[in-house]
Amino acid sequence: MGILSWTLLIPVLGAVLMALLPSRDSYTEKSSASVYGWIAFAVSTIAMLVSLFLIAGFDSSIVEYQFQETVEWIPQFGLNYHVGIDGISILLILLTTIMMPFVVLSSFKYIEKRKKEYYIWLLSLEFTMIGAFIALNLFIFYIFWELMLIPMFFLIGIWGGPRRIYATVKFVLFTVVGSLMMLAGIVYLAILARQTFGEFTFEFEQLMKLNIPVQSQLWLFAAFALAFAIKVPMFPFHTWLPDAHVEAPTAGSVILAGVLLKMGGYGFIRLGIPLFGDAAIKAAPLMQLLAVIGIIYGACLALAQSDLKKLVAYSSISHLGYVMLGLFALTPEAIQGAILQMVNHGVSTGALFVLVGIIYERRHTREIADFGGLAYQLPVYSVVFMVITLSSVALPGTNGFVGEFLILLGSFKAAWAHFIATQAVFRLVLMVFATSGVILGAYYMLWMVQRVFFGPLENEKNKNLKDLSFREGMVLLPFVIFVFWIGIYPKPFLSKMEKSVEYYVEQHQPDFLKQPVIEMEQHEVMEESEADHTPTEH
Amino acid sequence: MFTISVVIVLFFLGIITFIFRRTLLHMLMGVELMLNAVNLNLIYFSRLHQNLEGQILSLMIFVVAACEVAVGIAIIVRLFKRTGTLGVETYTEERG
Amino acid sequence: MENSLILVIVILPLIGAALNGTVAATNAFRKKEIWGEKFAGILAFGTVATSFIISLYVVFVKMSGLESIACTPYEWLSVGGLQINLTFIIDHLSAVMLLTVTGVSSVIHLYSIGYIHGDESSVRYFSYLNLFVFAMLLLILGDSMPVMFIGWEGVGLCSYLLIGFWYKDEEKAMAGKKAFIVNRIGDFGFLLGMFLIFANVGSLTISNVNEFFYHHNSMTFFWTNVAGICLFIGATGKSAQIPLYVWLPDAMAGPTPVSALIHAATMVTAGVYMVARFHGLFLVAPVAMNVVLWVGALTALFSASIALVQNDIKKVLAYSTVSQLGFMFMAAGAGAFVIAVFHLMTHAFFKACLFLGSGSVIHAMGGEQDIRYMGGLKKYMPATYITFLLATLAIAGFPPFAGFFSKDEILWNVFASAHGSKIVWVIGALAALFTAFYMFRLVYLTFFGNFRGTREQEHHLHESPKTMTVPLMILGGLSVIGGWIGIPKLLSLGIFPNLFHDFLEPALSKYGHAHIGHYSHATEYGLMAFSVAIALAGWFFARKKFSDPKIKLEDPRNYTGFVKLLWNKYFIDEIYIKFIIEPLKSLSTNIFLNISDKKIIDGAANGSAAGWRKVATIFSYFQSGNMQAYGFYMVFGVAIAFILALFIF
Repeated sequence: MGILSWTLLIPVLGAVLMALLPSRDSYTEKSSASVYGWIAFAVSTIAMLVSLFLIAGFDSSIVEYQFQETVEWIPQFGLNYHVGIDGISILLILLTTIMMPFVVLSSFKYIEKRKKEYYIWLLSLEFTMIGAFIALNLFIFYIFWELMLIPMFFLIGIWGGPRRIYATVKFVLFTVVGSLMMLAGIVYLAILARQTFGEFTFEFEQLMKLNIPVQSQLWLFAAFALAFAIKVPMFPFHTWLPDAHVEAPTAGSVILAGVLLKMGGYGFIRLGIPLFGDAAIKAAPLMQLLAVIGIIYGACLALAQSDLKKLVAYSSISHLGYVMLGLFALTPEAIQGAILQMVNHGVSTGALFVLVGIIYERRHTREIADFGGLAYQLPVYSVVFMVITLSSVALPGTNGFVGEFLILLGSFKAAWAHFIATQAVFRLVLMVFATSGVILGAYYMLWMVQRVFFGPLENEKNKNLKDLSFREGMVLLPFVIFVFWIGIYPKPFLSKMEKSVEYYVEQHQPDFLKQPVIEMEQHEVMEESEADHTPTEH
Repeated sequence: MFTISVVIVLFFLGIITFIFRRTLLHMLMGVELMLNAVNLNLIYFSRLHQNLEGQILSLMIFVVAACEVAVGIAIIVRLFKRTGTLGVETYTEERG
Repeated sequence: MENSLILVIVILPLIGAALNGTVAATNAFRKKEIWGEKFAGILAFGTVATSFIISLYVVFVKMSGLESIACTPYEWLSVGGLQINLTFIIDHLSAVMLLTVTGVSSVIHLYSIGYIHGDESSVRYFSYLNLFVFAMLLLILGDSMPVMFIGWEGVGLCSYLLIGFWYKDEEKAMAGKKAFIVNRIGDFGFLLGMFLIFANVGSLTISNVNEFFYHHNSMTFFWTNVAGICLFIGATGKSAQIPLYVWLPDAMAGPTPVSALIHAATMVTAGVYMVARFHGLFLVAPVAMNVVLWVGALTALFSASIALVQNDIKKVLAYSTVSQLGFMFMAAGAGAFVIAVFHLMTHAFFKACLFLGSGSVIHAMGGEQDIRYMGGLKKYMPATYITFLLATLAIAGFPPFAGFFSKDEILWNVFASAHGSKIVWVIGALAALFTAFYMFRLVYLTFFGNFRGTREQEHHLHESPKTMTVPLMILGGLSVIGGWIGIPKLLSLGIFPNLFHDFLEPALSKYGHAHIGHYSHATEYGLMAFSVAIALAGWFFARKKFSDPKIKLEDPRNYTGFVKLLWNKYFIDEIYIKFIIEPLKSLSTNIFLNISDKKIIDGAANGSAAGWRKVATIFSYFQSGNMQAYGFYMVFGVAIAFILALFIF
């Protein structure tokens, strides 16, 4: 068994191991950090360390899937355990494994009941998420995709806030509606595969060779896109997100924002666009429109919130709008930016949820109006919050900027090429609106910071708040490190996916995007020939 | 033909027991009766067709049935301990 | 690495910021000090001053005879067709900015040591100040648009942090936020311009961009101008021009040295610098140039008129800054980029001096900023008075002070250049008249006449400590002599070389320059004399109105008519709030949140759920909970199936 399978299995083995432990209350009452928490921390740390071997052994100069493993499961139906990673998925897997130990660490104090169960579900969730990222067989992918719901269902439903039942049911129903559409699409694909190849197959690489008529592509794309769009979530399928976030325990929110939402974007890039290339190109303007609506709509709604967590949740919708915008631009800049932005969003929004969780543990409220002037009382907390806020508003030098910049730049390039080819300004107008998101983003985040941290410290209850503890500092430290690392030196992250994305773009780019590349080369030649020609008067 | 008649009678006895007896224990017995009728059926046809598969399957069903009865009885005992009654009208939690 | 000294220049302030920042956070966390304000101040000043000295060495020794020198620490990113190196480049243009910024910054850091003395978070203050210098250096030295943009937003961040430095005062924090967001609106334009350029040029390196536009511009006339205007929107945000100037007057909430450094001398001039940097683009975009010219002129007049009636000493200076920036844009719009940068430099000297002087005054007055309660301060604080007066003479445009040369040249270029216009010249002259008037009004009301404050305040009046007066003297001196390096040939009759012009002209005329019309020397002399006359007139009117020692100032509430409009700053803030902010908030809350999100989307989801529940109630009658009934249904169903199978199919 290779490293990849170990990365996948360690969390679930840990979960099984924990399930076998006795669940006596004596474990839970003694200290706030229970034995179970430490076990989960150890397991997820091991998984993280193992996953570091992945990055060490990853060769970013080849475009094929690496660390591939295949085990036959039901070969008659083409159901094989086939996993592997490429430049697109590796960062997301590392995001998952690296985030997990800190998520576990962050919930030591927050979770007060049924601790054993909680950590079991958390580890199972890690298992399913990694599985979905590494699966190279559509059926396996689907299994992990659906399995993911179960731990999350319990995490929100048992350890959530007062309206947890509503939130969790809404979450599951929304997601399942999309997934079932996808299942129908998968069945169609399998049948088509049998007609083409003479046997059932679910292998990604095989399915991509299928020649699907454009009309059916559109339907299939719609089915898959619904599943992914709900998960992203794109406007107008987003309303489950704020409810789920608000009710979920801190760790649940962090994972939801940090990793789970990436599934949608990952689905689009891994399946939606490659499988149904023509349909995706046809639908791209619509998807980009929805993405841009999402950017502005999410930002406006974030502006209208009075609850910290809801604000962050709506800001997620806005941020993920950028991701979708970039994915459907289909230029290398935009797609790399989009993938990086997925990671960035995981880091900065994840950290924001941790921070909100920390203040909630102390004050048991998340209403912005209950705070004010915290900067004096909680200096370190405020600094960290500020750093993360700046990353969220995409200040240059932080990770958010690199992602957003690349997305907007690449999308604009595509829009411009489209404009040159067709003289249609629609996409350019879209880009203007998308770029205006940077203003709204700054507005709602800074307004929130202002109301929470600045001004006089008036509320009596806030006067005895304690600053970050050592454990909390440790939870936040990696987030802060990544904020600056990606912001200041993004090259190692981008170079991991460079080849994969370039190969990807080559295959799926629409025609109008291919032309300007040639034009530019001609242009450079022209530059050289004209270099010695000096202008006389201007 | 005789065996078939026995099977049919047994099976319907099982159904009638399941539908009309008011105690859980009896209902379970009704279910078992049906199961055994099916078993008998398998054995009969296995003999008729000179084919061992039916008998093998019935042996497997014995095993499964034994497990199932164990679990079923256990549940019934637990239910009795909890409510003190085995009347089927008590257990209507599944009402929609 | 080649020329790694450049890296040292940039990195030193960052080190200072990092050290002081860490210590500030730890101090606040532990509620005890690792090091206090003294060491922090010296550290901050030391790093910036060292940067300044190295800059001098680099510019005058290493760069002599060269067009530019560059240093590339690492490749920032390379994606698809985009490759961005973190390259710092010093050419003649950035050299001027580099020296101005590091020089003025060092002086202001020194001043800050005295000014911030006694503040509980002074370490934090110095860390922000250093961070600002770092960001500003990125902006200036960045060789490509993204690197420039990193600095561009970085200075915005520092501005935000420093305006809201005393965050416990809600209003100050709000002013910081406003600055950041209004700047973001400008950045939005900058970004769009950058994207448009990248889509066409395929590179974001500034020299490539200029080269592209000048030599083989493949963009249509329309889009070239759009690109220029987009960049200029960015400049209006950072350099506080119409319509985005509203943040700068509010920014005066920050500590005064910050106003001097960021909101007068350095950051706000970034827009001018940017326009000068992209002169290759602007020179082929005549419409954009015209926009720059007109916006600059209108801003100059508009904000100078507001400054006429303001009573807050810092507010007057703030509007004055906006107005002077307008002058710089006028010069840039007229194609005289050299003069724009020249005025940028002299303005940095005299405006920093004015702000620091006002800081000294406010310090002495115990925080009072209203000039109605000042008066007669010249006998209490002579050093402040003299330097303030020198800077006032400079800004008003009296020869031979620094401002005279630059402002006169701006007006001349606007008058004579092919890109200029006579109407704009009139506007500029009027703005210059206003400038002289409001500055002397300030001087008379602050330093002359009788003291109008309380007894207590009068008792406390004192000259500021040495750390504050020495910077004042340096800057006051520069306000006098700073312009001498750029004396027009015509005036010095060719005796002195026009050093500034000779230094900068090659860098800025690579892509051609604006055509100056043919006018006789007499015209030029005449215009020069006219400039002086304007300054004198401004002084004369101010003297007539405000030199009475027992002057009684009217209560602003009693203002009527035009003065009232001016006092209320043309109600621009109110208009923005009423027509942009409020509608946005109400759109978000009332329409998006309450109607579209809750009613339509959630309504549809919950509604379909409720619909299915209705359907389900019909079937739930069968779900009696009685197991035997279920058994019966099953038998019944099987029976039906049998019957169907046997008899019907």
